[in-house]
Amino acid sequence: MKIQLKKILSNYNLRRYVILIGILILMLIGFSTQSAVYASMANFTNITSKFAEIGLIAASMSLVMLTGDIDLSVGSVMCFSAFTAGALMQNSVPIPAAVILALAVATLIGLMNGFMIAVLNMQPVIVTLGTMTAFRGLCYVFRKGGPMRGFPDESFFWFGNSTLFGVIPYSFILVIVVFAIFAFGMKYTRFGLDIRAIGNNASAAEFSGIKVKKYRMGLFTLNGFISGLAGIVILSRMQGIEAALGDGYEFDAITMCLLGGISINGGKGTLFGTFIGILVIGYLKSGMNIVHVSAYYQSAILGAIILLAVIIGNLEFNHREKG
Amino acid sequence: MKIRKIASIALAGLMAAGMCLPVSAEESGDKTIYFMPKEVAGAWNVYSCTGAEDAGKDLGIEVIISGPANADPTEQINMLEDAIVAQPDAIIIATNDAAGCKASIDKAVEQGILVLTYDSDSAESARSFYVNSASDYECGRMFVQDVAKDVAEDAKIAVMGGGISAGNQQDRLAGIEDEIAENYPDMEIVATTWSDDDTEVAKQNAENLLLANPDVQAIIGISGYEPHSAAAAVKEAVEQGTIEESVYITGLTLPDVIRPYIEDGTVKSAYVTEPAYLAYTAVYAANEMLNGTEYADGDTFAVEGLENVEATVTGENIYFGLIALDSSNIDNYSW
Repeated sequence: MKIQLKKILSNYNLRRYVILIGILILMLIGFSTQSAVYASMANFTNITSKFAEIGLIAASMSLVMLTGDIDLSVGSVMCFSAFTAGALMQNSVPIPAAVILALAVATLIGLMNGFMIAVLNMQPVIVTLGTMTAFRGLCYVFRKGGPMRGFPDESFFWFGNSTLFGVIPYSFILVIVVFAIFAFGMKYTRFGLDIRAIGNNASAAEFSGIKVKKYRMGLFTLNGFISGLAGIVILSRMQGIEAALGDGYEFDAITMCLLGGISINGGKGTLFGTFIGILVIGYLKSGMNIVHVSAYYQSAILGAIILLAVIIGNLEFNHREKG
Repeated sequence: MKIRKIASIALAGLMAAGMCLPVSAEESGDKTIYFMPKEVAGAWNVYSCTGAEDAGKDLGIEVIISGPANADPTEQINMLEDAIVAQPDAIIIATNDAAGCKASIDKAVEQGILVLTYDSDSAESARSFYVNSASDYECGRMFVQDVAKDVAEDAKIAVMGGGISAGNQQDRLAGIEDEIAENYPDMEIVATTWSDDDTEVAKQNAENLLLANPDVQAIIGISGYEPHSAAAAVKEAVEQGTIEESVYITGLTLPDVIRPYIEDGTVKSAYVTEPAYLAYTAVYAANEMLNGTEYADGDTFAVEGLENVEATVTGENIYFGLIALDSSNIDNYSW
């Protein structure tokens, strides 16, 4: 028993799962003593529907971060895609066509990011900071900074506001599906191995014949597509869009990835870890609202969680040096 | 090595436990009301929260303040959803996005939670009442009456507005036009300007309208960006000799921006919504409704706990009155 525990704790990923699930259980117990509804299914529905968009983004952000890159444009791309879809629908474009076009636009933005980063060899932070600012600006252009509401056919609101068996939001099922596909790809295909190789050492991967440029470009494109998908989901859930929608989502998504064990240097971490990271932050935010922690303390506590993720990551780093 | 591992786990545990510590729920009463401002920052909102908390203390009910750190519509809707899960007796909310909050408000009402809006309504939702200082339409009428009383019944006036498409601006302008048409047919609107809620633009608008209409006798500002901008332009124009005598200015404002112009006499008086009174009135009305009081159109009720505040029910609105700021009371207000 003792040996088994030791084994688990010496494995980077398993140790992370144990810690995160531990935090989750402690939160469930702790917050439940303050509020009976916290651990209820109603709150599960409440939390998972709210975190669908950020969950989708965190999934593809994990892949980008695994190669050692970062994408700050996701929140803006999400909002821009939602505005694009909304504007098309308001101009009587049928819903499926509007959704496909909006996804195409988001994918193109991702491709643009990827091209500048992988082919033109520019810094990811600088490129995506640029697209983040530019497309946020364009979001304000649509309605002169105002919200966009009222669509000729509002049947697509259904997706963001309905649940399977009255419990699991459809949008959250989409998150699970995306995570499952990515996790499968990471574990059982060449794709996963290559991504880890790039994250561990891009030059070595390059020399061993991995097409690093194609992978990086592809992942930024995928991230654009997924951000666009998140935009469609949030448009459906919120039944409209604000120009400031998704402001800060990039950092929320990165926080979830880091908390889940994805290393900022790439190569380390799993999608399952990110998934638990999402649940931890989702339940933490909701718990703080339910037991009435002021918005100011909430930021401070979230900050502490980010630091916690850094501390755990750093301990691991030292361990490897010594080990 | 072992110590590090243990330390990291202990730290995680401590932090998780710590999250539950500072939140020992106060149980000061059997009723719980969520008070949800647009944001929990900015003097205006902070004052309104104080009013809500005071009302909670006076009435012996638990008032929980819950709002985003900045006026983020999505975050507010998330917090509203969390509030619904907590099943309070009532929710009082100032919506950042009227249409966006509709679905959640309707859900809360469906679950038997009393919902009132204040400051910023969600008129199409199932909320019971909208609490504010005064009807926008009646505000417009009142400004015209002030001009008629203080300047002349045949005054030449200019109207300065914020966002041309905002519902409250259109309602106030309609009130002004109707009051003139019905009671002061000799009064004339010589100019109407729109600033898009921008103080700089408002000031330029005022400068332009003074140049084009040097005979204007009164300016009515129907958004919070207008009266002090008009005052700045009038003051400059008088100093530069563009116009001979000062122009009468009234309208809706905020104490901090209008203070210098009231102190130096450019503006005699202007109106504000007292945020603490607004919040107090909303909590008071919610508590009364939870106790079984049913408000109907035309009812008036005194807000116990506030001096000389009487609220009027008009349709789905509860109004408790604007406060007129002048040199005698300007020092009492700051936000």
